[in-house]
Amino acid sequence: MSNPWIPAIFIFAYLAVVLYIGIFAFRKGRATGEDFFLASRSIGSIVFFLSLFATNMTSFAILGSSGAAYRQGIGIFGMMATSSCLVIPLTLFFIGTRLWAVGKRFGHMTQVGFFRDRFECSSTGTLIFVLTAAMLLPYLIISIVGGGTILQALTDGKISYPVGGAIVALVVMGTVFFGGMRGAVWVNVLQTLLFLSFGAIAFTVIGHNLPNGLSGTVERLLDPANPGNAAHTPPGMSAVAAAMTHPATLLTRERIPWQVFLSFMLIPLSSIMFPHMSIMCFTAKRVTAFRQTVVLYPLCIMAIWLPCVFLGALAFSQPTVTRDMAGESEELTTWLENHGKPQPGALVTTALTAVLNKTEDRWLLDKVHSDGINITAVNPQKTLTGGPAFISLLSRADDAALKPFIYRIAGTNDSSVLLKLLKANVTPWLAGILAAGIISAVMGSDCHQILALSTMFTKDVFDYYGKGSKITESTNVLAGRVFIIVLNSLAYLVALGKPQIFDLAVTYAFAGFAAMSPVMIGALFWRRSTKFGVLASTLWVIGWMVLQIVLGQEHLAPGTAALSLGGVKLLMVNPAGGLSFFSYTLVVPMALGSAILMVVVSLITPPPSVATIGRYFPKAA
Amino acid sequence: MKWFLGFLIVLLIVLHQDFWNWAAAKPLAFGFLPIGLTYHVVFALACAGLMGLLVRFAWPSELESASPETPEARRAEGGHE
Repeated sequence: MSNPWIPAIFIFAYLAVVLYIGIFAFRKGRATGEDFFLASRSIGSIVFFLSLFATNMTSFAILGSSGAAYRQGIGIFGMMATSSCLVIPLTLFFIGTRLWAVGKRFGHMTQVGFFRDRFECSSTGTLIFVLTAAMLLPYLIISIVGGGTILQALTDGKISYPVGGAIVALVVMGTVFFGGMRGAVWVNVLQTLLFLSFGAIAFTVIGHNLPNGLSGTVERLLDPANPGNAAHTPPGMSAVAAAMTHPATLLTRERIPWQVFLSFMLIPLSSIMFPHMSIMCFTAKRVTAFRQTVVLYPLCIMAIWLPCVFLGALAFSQPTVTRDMAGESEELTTWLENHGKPQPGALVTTALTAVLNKTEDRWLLDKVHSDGINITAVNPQKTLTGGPAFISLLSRADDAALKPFIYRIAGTNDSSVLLKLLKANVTPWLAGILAAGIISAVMGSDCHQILALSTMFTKDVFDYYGKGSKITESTNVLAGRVFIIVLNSLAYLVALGKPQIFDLAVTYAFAGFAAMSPVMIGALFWRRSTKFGVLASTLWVIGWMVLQIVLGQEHLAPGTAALSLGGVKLLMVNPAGGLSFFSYTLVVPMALGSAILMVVVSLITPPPSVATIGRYFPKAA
Repeated sequence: MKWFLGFLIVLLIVLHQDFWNWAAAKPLAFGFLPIGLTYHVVFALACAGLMGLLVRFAWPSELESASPETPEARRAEGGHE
């Protein structure tokens, strides 16, 4: 990609169209809360499907999936994509349709509004509001960080990170500020079509341009004569860790422990619990809009994830891509800026420091100690500095034990793999179109996240607690717009510092939302469920979220016990630095514990009033 | 029919854990797609098929007649209480 402004032109054209649609929707809108927040519950079938899909797809579907496959192989497709192909449509079929109906019958606009009415609870509803807002806010920040990073990467830094982030934040804010739900939904139609095309085009073009073609690249990765495949497995190394040293395992599921693969079946339960997803369920004109949605949903997930995962796994075969990723790794840059001093939580550079200390290539560590980020390497073409220079020097090291570190460092910057593949294999104008597809994925969900938060603040707090003062419809809309500006501005200011804590929060939020699903299932299907059951489940989830944040800040070494009880190691730090519960991911104890508490506590506490049961379960009454 | 559909849901949950493909990359579909990916492509198609069956045979048609029951809902529907 020689001219970085070519992708930028396509992206700006796309952003201008998005903003125009938002403003056009403004002209069609009415000044009522129902219209601004839910488009008057008037969305037709096809638009509903395209918008719901865009709401749930984040940049992770494109950039994160390929990055995860770059490290863990094709198993990511089964673990994250096809588990969603099954579970998300099922939740839409069983839960989404019922949510639509209670919204239609009782005028609910948020989950909390529904829970407050169904469980006759005020403060527990407020507690759920606080929890869900706290779990959703990091997504806003991450979206702006993602938008800024992508614009910066695609334009070779011509658009700086703060400017890129501001552009994305302003366009998203403009779209929802003017157009509300109608603007977001109309924009989603364009966005979904763009990022659905992304996968097919990227796969075809990159696959065609790979030096050995798709078949040749796959055969090379599987070839036993490939030096990497003959790697010696040190004694005592776990099966998964051993698999990580063999490139051929990128095309199998060996890099993923089966307990983790199994745990991920619970993660898609989070989808319907995300406030922006459940609010979207309220917007359909008729419940029949769900019919096409649930059938098309698995096919569209496959269309996006399959090419991204496969290309991510194959990227290993392009050493220049790996070297580029490693050279621009933030972990490596921080390590160099600190003159080789290992940083808390930086697992790869900490391990690299230890190995460099023991090898004949210690000179490289000495050079890092003296030069830091100003380290240079003279290549035939040009002189490199900083991260790329260090990677160039590392690739020339004598000790074979150091070579895998280039791949491991690249793994810390895995979400850039598809962008690097695009740069290496695609013409600038096509990269521009594809970049618009990537930005679409970022902004599609971002619009709904900010609108959902605005709806929640307006309806669940401002409107709910201000009912005595007779708040008018236009005041509600005004409050919603003010919240959009305030929340987006705050998110942008926080995003400027690229805080990593929010990466952590987003990771845990999936498990948190999934663990709240028993509350929704109880509310819709079990008339004996009570507000005390809801409270117990919510406190259980809050407890786990706090525990994870606290333990995550301790940066414990992999393999150590993070939490023990009576000699039993309950929580262990896994090789990636995350926490696991008897080798399962934390969503397992969180969701199962939440479900058990919901059932047990509900059974021992008084049920809601007969009147409420009669309204929500007319047949039973 | 509903019991059969329930069985199909459980069956797909079990089939998702394709441990028999755990360490296998071959055979390659179309000469390049590893068996682990091919299997899950078929699985995704099966999910769409299952959802088609659910829509056809277990659709909650009673929800289609849902209508506003509270003043707030009626106001939102058409401006009348």
